[in-house]
Amino acid sequence: MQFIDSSAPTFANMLNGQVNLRDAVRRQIDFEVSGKEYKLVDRPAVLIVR
Amino acid sequence: MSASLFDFAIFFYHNAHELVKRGHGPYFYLPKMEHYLEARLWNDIFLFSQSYIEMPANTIRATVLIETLPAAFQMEEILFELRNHSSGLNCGR
Repeated sequence: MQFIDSSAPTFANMLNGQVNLRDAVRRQIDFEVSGKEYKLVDRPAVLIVR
Repeated sequence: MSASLFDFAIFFYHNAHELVKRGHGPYFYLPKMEHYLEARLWNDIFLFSQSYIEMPANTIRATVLIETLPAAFQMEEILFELRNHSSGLNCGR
């Protein structure tokens, strides 16, 4: 997960990233869009923040 | 203020304890470094931050990306500065 210049570094974007990280760490990042479900597997990759 | 300090601090403050509780830890990639004194600064930041949230020192793990020419000639010095928090070096570019 990277806070880097390949994403538009608006303050809102950066804070959204932090919210996503917080949810991911607590495994509360499941969501559904257009009928497709996105969720973490039981043993996701280790999170390293850049 | 420094964006990298802000990003690190917010993430660390909200997630470090939770990560340790879940069997992981606060792990970071440090890109674009050009001098061992930058590594020393990060080490100081790590020590301060861990102390601030009452986390044992040396819990944080950081991988340094060697992706600049100056850093390529200071790899040992960079590793030495981060010796208590290092999870090695990575080579990019």
